[in-house]
Amino acid sequence: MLFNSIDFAIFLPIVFTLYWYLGKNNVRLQNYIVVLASYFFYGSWDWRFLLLILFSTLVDYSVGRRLGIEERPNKRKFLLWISLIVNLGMLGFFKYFNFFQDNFIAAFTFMGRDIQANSLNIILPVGISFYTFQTLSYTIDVYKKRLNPTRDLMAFTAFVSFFPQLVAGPIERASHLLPQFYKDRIFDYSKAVDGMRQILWGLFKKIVIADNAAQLANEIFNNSSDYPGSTLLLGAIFFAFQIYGDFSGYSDIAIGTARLFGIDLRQNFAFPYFSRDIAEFWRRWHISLSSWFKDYLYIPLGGSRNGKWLSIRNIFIIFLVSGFWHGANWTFIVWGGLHALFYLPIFLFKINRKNTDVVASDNIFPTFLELYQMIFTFGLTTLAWIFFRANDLNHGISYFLTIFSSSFFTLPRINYSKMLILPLIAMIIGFIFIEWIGRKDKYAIEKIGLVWKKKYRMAFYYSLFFMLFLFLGKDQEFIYFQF
Amino acid sequence: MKLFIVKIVKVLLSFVMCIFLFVISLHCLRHEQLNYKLDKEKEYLIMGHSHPEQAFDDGIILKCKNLAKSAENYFFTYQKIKEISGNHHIKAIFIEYSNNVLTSGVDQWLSNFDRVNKASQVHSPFMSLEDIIYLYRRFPKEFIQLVSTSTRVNLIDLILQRNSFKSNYGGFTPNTVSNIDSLLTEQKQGVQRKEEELLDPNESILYLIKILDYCSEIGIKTFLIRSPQHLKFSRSNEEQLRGILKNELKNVAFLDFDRFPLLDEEYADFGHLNQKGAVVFSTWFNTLLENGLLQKDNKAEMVKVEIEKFRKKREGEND
Repeated sequence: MLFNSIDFAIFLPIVFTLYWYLGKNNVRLQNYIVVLASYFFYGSWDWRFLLLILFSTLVDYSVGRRLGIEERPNKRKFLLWISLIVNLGMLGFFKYFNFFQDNFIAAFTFMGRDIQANSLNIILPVGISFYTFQTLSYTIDVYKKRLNPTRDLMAFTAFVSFFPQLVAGPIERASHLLPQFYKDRIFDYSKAVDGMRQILWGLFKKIVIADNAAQLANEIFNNSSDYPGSTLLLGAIFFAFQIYGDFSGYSDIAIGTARLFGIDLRQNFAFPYFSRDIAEFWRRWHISLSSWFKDYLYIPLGGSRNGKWLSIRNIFIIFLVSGFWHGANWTFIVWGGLHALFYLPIFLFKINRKNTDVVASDNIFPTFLELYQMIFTFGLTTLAWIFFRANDLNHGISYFLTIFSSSFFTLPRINYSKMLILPLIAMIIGFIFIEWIGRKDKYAIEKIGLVWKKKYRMAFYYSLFFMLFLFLGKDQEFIYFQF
Repeated sequence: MKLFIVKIVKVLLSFVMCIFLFVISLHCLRHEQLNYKLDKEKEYLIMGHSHPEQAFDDGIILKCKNLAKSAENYFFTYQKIKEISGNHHIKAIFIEYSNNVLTSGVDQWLSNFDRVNKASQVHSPFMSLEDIIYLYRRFPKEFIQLVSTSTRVNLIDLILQRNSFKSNYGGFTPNTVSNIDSLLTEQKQGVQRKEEELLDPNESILYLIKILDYCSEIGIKTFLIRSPQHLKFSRSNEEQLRGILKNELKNVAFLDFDRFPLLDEEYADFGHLNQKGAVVFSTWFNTLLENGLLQKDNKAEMVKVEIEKFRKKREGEND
């Protein structure tokens, strides 16, 4: 069930009504409704996935309970290992088994030893990387005694399976989300309206920007050998907007939907394409994943405290693992590696924490330097996206090399209707403008509800609705569902 | 919470109403505005799919305009005729009725969403409520997208004052290839091409009947034609084709050019003529029109006789 589908448009109001009417003043009942709705939502992809999430929930709940009463370090470590092995084992099997098998076979063949093995036909359960990380954070926090284990199984199940963020995040920390399932939740009108506004903006990003940019990006990437370098660069730029609109749009819809149920989720994107360097980009892009890796991988590895070489090693580890998290393909690892390379110079010059504020926070326009920095950073991320989108490593390399060939200096051309290209470019420009105006807020149009007069506000909402209608494409799956 | 629900429902309803009104207004406006102007000397139209598209060279057949289009279903031919019928000098329309219009392959042309979506952008201003409901029944899930794309394209065209879709209406498309030898070799080697399942004929010819009724209402003569096909072209549903002609289509003349004598090298494949074949056939057809085919009482018989004459002539030439 996709957020941008008719099915979800029917599902959401039903769950919302049941939640607030039946569950009024009854937290337990509200949690039951959330769990039932979430399992229905998740089961709509494939009911077999429910067994996995249920298993993961029960294991982590039980491990948490035991950790709460166990004081012996060895026993505690053993319990933590159970959780790590179960969660990472499931993730490893469903997501990476064939990748490792294929690569082992290739490596042995390279060394002159022929090995025969059949690939398993494994279906990747939707969102497994997201809820695995979410439950792992719970066990690790309980192990480290940063969090008290929960005794409320239903609240814990709701925390693991909460449908707005179940399949593509934001990856919530138990310390932030779990307590919200203990507390009374009372309907808050302004919060709900704010949630609707964020959903509307998320839908705009997904349907108008991402799905339409996807048509052009797909055309160019799928036929990259037919196009000159200039067109390929254009394709990479369209993909940059596709993936941003797609994933940040999903996050906006998830956060907005959660607010309808009185739950606050963490901000996942903070206008990353206005970043002035790669370090700032990673503080603004997929925040919940970056901070997860920082807290549960980078810092435990020693972070930047153990000298230059170990810090460099840690940077590469975190970026390569982050790439690998996205998918079992070398293209994602190269993508992560490129980001590590882009990050390294600013780390070595110790300017990675230089841009922690909002760009041009006191001005309407950026300075020339800021503009140059933003364009440069966007350029680097766009080049890295090529590998993220490429079908395989060879495709990525040939795409990359064609951009840097003499054909870059020809006029871009594309076999696609101008009826889509020109309005889409106009939409992207308008989109950047609105994002720029709202760059200090949690999402671009947050302030509209507070500042604008009703008639202007409504006119703006109607324009967004109208764009949604005009640019409606086929229900396209969110890119991050595959991760 | 009640207040929230009431307000959201109000906003959504008012938005849906606005969109509905907008779509209807745009539909009416475009219907009035679109105007396909046909040259005065073109009195006859050729309609259908790729077979007539590649067979009737309207540069040779002087009074004809070929508006056949590859993979066009009768549903869209009907919309096209509604728009073009504003040209009051049109005397007759020739509509392709060949064996493949009763196969699942042709039904695909109206089942493939991307294809229908593309064609709807061009033809939607001429669709009646009944046609729109027909499309909705075929694509209940994607229907909103269909309306959305048509609205967007028509809105842009309205702004740009593009009042004709001439370039999207089809036309004679010369085919330069000749694959008959390789196809015959394939057949000799026993390569079996999958026979397409036959369809419920009532569904296939639903819109053909609508075309015939519509043309009869506005006083344009209609003829069913079958473009030349190679001897090896699959005619497994010939009986069904003839059966429909005898019953549902009994009031329309059927001009059958199926066995028109052409050499292998004049075909692109078993179903399509190449440029050479189109020249031979179109020259002959032009003569037939000039000799008063449409004024004759028994047109089908005249076609038969003329084909036979031409066959003998060609045989004589070859001897």
